[in-house]
Amino acid sequence: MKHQTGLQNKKVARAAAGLAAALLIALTVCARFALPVKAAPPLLVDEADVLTDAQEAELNALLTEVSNAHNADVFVLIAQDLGGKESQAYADDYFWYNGYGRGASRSGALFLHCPSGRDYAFSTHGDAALAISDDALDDLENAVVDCLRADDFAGAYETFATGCDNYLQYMATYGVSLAKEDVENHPEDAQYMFDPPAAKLSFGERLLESMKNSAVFSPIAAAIGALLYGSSKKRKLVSVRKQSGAGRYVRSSASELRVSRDILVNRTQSRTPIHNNDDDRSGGRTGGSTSFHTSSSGQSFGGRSGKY
Amino acid sequence: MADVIEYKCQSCGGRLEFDPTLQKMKCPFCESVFEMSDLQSLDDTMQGTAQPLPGEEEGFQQGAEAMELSGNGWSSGEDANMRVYGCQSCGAEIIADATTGATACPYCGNNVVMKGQFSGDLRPDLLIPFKLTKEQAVDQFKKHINSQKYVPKVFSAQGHPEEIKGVYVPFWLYTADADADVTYNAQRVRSWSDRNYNYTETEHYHLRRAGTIRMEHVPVDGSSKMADDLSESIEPFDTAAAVPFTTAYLAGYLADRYDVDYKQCKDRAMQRMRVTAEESMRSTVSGYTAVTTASSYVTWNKAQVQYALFPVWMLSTQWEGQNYLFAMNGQSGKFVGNLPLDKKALGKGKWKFGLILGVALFVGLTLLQTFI
Repeated sequence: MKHQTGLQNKKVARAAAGLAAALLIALTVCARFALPVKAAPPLLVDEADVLTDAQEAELNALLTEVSNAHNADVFVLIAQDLGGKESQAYADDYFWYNGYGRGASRSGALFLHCPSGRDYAFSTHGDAALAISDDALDDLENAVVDCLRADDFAGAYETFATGCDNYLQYMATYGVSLAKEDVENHPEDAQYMFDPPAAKLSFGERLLESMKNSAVFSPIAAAIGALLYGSSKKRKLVSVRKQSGAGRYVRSSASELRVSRDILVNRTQSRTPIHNNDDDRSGGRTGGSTSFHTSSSGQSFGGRSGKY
Repeated sequence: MADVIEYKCQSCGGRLEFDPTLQKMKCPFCESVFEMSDLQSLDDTMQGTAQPLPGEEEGFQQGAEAMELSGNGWSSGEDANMRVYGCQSCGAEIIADATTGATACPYCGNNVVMKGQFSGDLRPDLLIPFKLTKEQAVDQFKKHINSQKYVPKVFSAQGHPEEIKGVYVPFWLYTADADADVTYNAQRVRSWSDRNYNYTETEHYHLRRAGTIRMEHVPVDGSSKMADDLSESIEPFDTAAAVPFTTAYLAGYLADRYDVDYKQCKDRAMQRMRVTAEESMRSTVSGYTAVTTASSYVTWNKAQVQYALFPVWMLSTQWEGQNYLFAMNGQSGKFVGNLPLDKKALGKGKWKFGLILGVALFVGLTLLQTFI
């Protein structure tokens, strides 16, 4: 009996060893053929080394928080040199060819800053481009450039991140992108802008504004009206005119139409998509629009660039 | 044989005139009235050829010699455009334009008709008698001047409307069938929408219209003295009221025979008829967003021309060195004539208008912008 037990134990041990070996082989094979896990591109690239370590860490945390909240790569590139390229083209190409952008639309927003040339550029793509409208870009650009001009680079990058967070949040809340007109009509939307437009004028202010506009337009229109009046009165003094035709002398009973033929030669059709607003979520807001341009990669980007 | 015809009252021997109100011949002295048919026999003398009668030639030459002897010689060009006739009432010499067909003796006021101007081939086919009197013409002239603002007030005072003259103006009347064949390119555009798209559909068509337009009695004046735009402005004349030509209708009025023949006037008539033929074809095209003419051909059939005299009251007046010509259709009363402009008055009017408009716009726009 002891002999048989000892044999059984050896069998179990051999089976276990074989199973472990098989598992090891399988794992090794899987590891050999498994897809590599790509590292996400960094949200802060400081080639010019303008930020301190502490500033970098703080900014990175902010950018990560904003990017994760809106499923879009909101990132900053501080370039040493643009290599002779236009800042907008550099930004668009950097975005596309370095694999930035999240989701199917590769949603993201890049702020490019080149301190040596005093260049900057905003580059947006996908859903983020739709959310960061032209009015939003106006607001963002003014706020960021103010910081750049004051040499507050860290402040500029933080403003960029905060601004993107605001505009993406606005889109998520109301289903439309930010528009100045909507902010005028909905004062509570001012929190989403750095420099919101003034609220609608009071009745007295509106009246004064209307009178100023009318005072400019009315004399011009009255002058044109007076000239037309004069021409019309002058024309009435002329009653001697040649006749153009001989319509009065047509004898209809002796006239006839013999051939009347209409032949369809061809038919063409075109269509344009309708932009739908979700009225319930938007609260009556019409939303802004985004201007797009095509980069060298053939992709459509929003954004703008300049020098400060 | 006399070279002029004069119409004398058979009761008192006074000169007869055609009365537009009665449409008969009337003696202004004894008020006797005569039917047109009573004076028809005088027209029997008009059946001769177009060659001037020997008496006329002699009269022209004699007249020229007399003027030369008195030292007022004419140039050869003036000679060719003038004729001299003898008044049978007072014997005076009437010097008239080569185309004058009827006038009044400047000495005794007798109405004369120059036989040779309307005889043979020169005889008009039709005549529309005057329907409106001189008094009515003068009234219309005053109304015309007063109908418009900004005519100088002095102009109406200096107009001398009593000098308005009744003239029978020679016209060529063209009748033809215009066969028009016109093709067009046309488009019809349709738009609609669904939830997702706005659609636009464009259909392109080739159209053809062909037919015959008959136009009758399209007038073109045959007198170089009458501006074409003036004679066209007083249209239309109703040729249904036209009568066969009789010289008696001319008594009391001026008349000219044509000096621009029908071949020279033909182009103008055809130009007007072509425009009407094309407009008639175009009026049968409808239901399209845009239509352009691709080709147009017009040919002419059953073309005829008639010579007619139409009644026109005419007045010429001068104002600040410029000549102003007025004309009234002697049948319908339509009055035309360009009027001078009082620039100062118009300037004031423009200021007034501009001020009122400016204030109204200011108030209106301010309210619109404030409340909307």
